[in-house]
Amino acid sequence: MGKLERIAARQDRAAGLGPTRRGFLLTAAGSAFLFGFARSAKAAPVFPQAAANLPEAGAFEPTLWCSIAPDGWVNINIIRAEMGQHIGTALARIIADEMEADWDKVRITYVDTDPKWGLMVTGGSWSVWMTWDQFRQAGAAARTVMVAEGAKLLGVDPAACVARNGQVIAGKRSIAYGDIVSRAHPTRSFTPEEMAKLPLKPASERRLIGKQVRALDIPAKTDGTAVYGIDAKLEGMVYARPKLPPTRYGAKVVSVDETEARKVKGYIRHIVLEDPSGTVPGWVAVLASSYPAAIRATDALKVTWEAGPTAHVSEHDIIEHGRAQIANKEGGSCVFNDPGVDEAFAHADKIVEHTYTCSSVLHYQLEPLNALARLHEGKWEVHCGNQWQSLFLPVIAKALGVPETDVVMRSYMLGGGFGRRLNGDYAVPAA
Amino acid sequence: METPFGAIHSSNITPDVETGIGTWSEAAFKRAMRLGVSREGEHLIPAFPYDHFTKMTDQDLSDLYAFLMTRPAVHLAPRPNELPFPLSLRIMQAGWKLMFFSPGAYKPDPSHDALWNRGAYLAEGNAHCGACHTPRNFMGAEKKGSQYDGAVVDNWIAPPLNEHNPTPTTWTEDELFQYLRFGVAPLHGPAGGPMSPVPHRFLSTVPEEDVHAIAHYYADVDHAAERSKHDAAALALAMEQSRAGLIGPNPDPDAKLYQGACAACHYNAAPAPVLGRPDLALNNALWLDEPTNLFQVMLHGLTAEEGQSGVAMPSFYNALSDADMARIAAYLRRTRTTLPPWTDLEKKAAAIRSTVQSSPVNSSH
Amino acid sequence: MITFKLNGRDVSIDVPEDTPLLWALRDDLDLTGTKFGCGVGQCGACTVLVGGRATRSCITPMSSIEGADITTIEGLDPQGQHPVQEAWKDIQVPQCGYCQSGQIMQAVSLLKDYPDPTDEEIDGVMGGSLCRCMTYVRIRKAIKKAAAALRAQTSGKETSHG
Repeated sequence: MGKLERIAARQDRAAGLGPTRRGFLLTAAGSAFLFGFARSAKAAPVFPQAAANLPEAGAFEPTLWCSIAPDGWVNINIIRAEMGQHIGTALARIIADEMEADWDKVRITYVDTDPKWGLMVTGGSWSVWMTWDQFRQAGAAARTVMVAEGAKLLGVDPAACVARNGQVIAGKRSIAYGDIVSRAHPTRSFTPEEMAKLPLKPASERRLIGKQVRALDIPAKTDGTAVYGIDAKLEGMVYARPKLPPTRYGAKVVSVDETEARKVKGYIRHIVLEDPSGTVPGWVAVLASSYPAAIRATDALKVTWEAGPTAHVSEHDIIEHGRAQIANKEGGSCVFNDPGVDEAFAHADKIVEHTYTCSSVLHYQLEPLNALARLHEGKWEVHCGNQWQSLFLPVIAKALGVPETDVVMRSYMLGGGFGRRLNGDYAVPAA
Repeated sequence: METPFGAIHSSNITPDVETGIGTWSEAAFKRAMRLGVSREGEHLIPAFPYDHFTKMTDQDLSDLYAFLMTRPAVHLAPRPNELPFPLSLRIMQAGWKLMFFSPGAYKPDPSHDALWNRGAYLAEGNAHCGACHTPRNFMGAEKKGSQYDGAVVDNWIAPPLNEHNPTPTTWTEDELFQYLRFGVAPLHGPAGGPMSPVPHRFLSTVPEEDVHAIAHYYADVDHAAERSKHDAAALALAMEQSRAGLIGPNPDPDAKLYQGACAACHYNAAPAPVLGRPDLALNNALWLDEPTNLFQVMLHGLTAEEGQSGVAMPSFYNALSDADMARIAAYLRRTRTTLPPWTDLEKKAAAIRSTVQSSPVNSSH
Repeated sequence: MITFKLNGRDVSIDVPEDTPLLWALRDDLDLTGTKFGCGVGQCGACTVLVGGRATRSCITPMSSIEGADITTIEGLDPQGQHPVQEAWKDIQVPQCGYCQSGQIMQAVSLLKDYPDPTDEEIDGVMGGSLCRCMTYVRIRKAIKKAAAALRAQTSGKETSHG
């Protein structure tokens, strides 16, 4: 350890900081030693979950969905986006309950896109009921193997064993799941058909579902360590800000004048985006070495557009368009024929008639739309929080002009979804 | 210095022989300070406040000379002033002196005690508070009979220091002392703009007794003794007003704007404002005839070196449009003062905005 | 070069003076716990403490904080166990969590000014910190819980000195 690192470590200890909790780097500047911070920041902020995609060495993985490590930690893979609904906790609880896991040793991994996961979409209040059967079966699979292997190690009949709180118990003797994994090295895996035949716990035996449990994602959301898409970082990355055309669709860039933008320190270049997917027509990306420089340069860059056909559409026009659609007898609106309504109106003392409209509003999820992209070892990686990867990965591939197999979307926490991130349009300009 | 007569540039007062005052004798220095005449015999422009420095004692002038002449010399020719003809003629300054200048050292007022006289001496002489806080006539001289009525300086309002000061609680001796020594008064809030260096670079460095003396003097100038008997009631009312529009459902969109942008730092509850949470109901900015200072602070914010030390107010230059600023100003004036509404607020916001020299990075999206 | 104190350490960084503090923290100092929300000081997600007072970092230029003492969510407590953070976990306040660093920093500042805050005082001070997930009810509960914990801590200290 060099002298400077020793000083840093001493200050860390004095400040009560553990050696690994925060990465500080001591730098010398001029004649005085000053504390700076490691710019590369290890890999942690870049790939917060990717490393955990693979089961730990020696872990038992009875299905795609969960694994038990030799130290007893249970990992549960979540293909849904975490955006405030604690979906990881909700889904992990299904497996953990069925598996009889110790909730204090359960962790969740928000996985990156891979065809093996199937449809990746988070919305419409689908996640729990769409996952319910599959995760109960996955939990049952893990429990079945733990009981079978645990019984062997305890030298008793499996029928004499119960699984509880991460342990297999036979009378006064017990063995922890982690110990079963490290001693018996179970490898059994289950086909979907086998899983469907496994016995499931009755509702009366549930110990986590329907009870108050600690949400697994909350501690990281109180100390700044939760990693959202906007926190993703790569060594040497540059920052871009879009210059938006006058209409969402159909605009064409006529000319770009970067005279003023060039005067901004840190400005790199602008790019008139060529997008075969048609997601961001007429967008101009302004690249700079820092985000503030990108802001300044974007404000300074002058772009003229030929606007799309909706350039003069107003909120009023949109409402009127809606009215016209509702009035269309060919299915513009659907009225449920409830018997007795006409009669009730006919005999009403007073009829109140009013039209209610709803204007266009922004979703306003608090985390601004953002994405980070790179070409790495032949794969296009897109880093962002997203609700519907299965819909937008093909669009990103199309925008890039590469096969879908060459694109991977890495998953992050979403600073709010509210449906806005069902659309992954914001990933296209980055890609 | 921007003046109504054109820009005036301060001169080099380091002991540099060619461009500074290196060749000036002590006598020449004292003559300049007392009579506004340069070493070469030219009349000095009264932007150099010799009308105040003339009040300084012989000993203080000698000490000041000794201090200046022992600073490192800096070779830097002053930029020429931009006064139009005929003001550019130094001889014109002689007439000004005849009309507006009475030379002579400060004479203690025997009807007041030593502390008061010390305060008056420092305030009228060395500190030359009136140079900013007394309005000037069309010839740029401080108006007789309007001493400390307040004036516009550098696109800020230097508020009245006398009984015309409009804030609902009085500038008492303690309020004045805290403000002048530390840059923030418990009730009236922090010093901003051109006033900020006065506590931070000047009055925080002088003997504390001298700051007490100045505070003592101005508490008399603003008649704090008689006026402060209403302070308790005014404070109670201000604490009631501070919550206006912030508690419970409120349909007033201006209140919502204020809540989003300002209230987190400016809300206060009885019995008194928290230090570091300046209460606008008690602040000069809301009670002056124009919203100038309010807009200045909104646009610039305050750095950690200004106002209350170590605390910063952000710049709302990009966060609030002229219309937003106007709405907040109107809302505060109507909910937190008893004064008539300000007029043309949006135009005035735009005018102050146009004086901001470099705009901050706009992180909006 | 701008020099200031950050989470108890002397720090010097070479960024343009007009850089908003938010970007210096997130991009130059790798402290991403402080969040970019609205960018115009109207949502509170970027709140940090400057001289102990809650400050919107997205509209505070670096030139304003020369010499100041800054605390971010990462520096509130070395183990993330400040009484406000503990209360936040106990009450399970966060949903998406994006605003919560700012909420917590604002709450810490609130409790310094109002150690036993009423609902009105909480509304008055916290009203500028937006939560799109609507965790407000739990924020209020957690603030009261943290206030009680902090008061107990303080009175404990006084007793031990007595």
